Amino acid sequence: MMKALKSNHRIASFFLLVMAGILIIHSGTTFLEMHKPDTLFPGPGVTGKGKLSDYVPRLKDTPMDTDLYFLKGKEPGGKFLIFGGTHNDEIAAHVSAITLLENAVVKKGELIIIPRVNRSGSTYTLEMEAYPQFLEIKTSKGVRKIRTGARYANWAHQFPDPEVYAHPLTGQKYPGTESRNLNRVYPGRANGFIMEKVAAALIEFINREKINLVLDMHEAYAEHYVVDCLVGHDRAMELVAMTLMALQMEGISIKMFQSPKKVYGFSHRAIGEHTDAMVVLAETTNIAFGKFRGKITQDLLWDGKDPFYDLLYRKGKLFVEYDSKKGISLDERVARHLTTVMELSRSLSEYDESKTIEIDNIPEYSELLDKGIIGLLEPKERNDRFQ
Amino acid sequence: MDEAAIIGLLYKLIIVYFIVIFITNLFRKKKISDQVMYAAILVPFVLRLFSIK
Repeated sequence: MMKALKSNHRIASFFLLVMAGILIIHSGTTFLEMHKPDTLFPGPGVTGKGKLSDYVPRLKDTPMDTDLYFLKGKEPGGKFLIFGGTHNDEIAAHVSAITLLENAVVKKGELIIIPRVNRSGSTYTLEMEAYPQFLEIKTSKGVRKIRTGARYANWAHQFPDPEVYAHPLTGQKYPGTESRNLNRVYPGRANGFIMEKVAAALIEFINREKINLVLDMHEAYAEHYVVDCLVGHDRAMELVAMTLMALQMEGISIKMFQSPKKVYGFSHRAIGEHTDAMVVLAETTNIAFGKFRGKITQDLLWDGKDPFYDLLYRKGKLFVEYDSKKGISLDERVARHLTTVMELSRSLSEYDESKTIEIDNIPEYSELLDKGIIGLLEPKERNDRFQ
Repeated sequence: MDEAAIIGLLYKLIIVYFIVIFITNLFRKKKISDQVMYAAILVPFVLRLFSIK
């Protein structure tokens, strides 16, 4: 066959064109796999499901629209809004949100969960990072896949980026790609860049629903100082301090920061300024997300064991304690986020009894560490009401 | 039509131009290694044209 191709270059050209076509279809299909929504199993505590466009119709049929899950208790109380997937490569955030919506039962107050607040960013992975498209969860019923994603909205949904992104309220300048970073563009603009539209819609939603507390879940790399911490808006600092003490009593090493006043595009600053809600941002450590990691495999996503980081730790370059024999597992990171949710709701209840939120069916931190999170993410019977 | 939409349209026109050049060269070249190169670099250009990412 090779002889025939070499002797007739037109047949060879046609053959290669067909091969390129097959490659285009294969890679295109692989990319488009990430545009399909995750299969979720809303748990017994879910009382309603909606879309952000139900509140802000201008987002309808756009890649910015996203699902909201409502977990309403039988008794009245406070309203607690939880964001997963602001940055979709920070996987513990949306895995924690999914774990909550599949397991939590609310007795008092209301929990509202947005697993993919930046839905556009969940449809691709960043170029040149070789980040796996899916997190594979080995359950007793087979492998369950949950998309990873990227910190920025998909460029296919916003092209081109501006050369420089100047924050519309403060004029603070960022690289143009940051116009697709939800956590730099708050409070957003209704007719602005793609993520500004999402930010503005979230502010409208929070104001209309009279949300009391917002938690924006994230992960950071170990060589960045804002890691394993809570960051609170000025009005939330008392709540953050109460939560921090409770977390430390459970054996969690964590620190706190007050939201800087001059860095305006962050959720913890701008949502606090433009709504009545108290806003907290939580960070855990993701080694697979770090800049010195080796190849990103499913094992690295799950166990966070990377010998390169031992070297950095010995040189005093990390802001967390690290030993690659132990790693920083996804179980531990999700356990930290879930315990933060539980302790924040307890602290809010102590802070203002009329805003009590009681959440049940989420194991304690030590139990989560012992048993892991896979048991909480087992595929369950699909509840057709919330698909 | 806003500035971004015009730039987006021009970008796609440039991609189409390159795709035509690559396919033309694929059929013109007689050396198999050149032909393989033109077929391979066609792939990301077509994906970009359809904004598949």
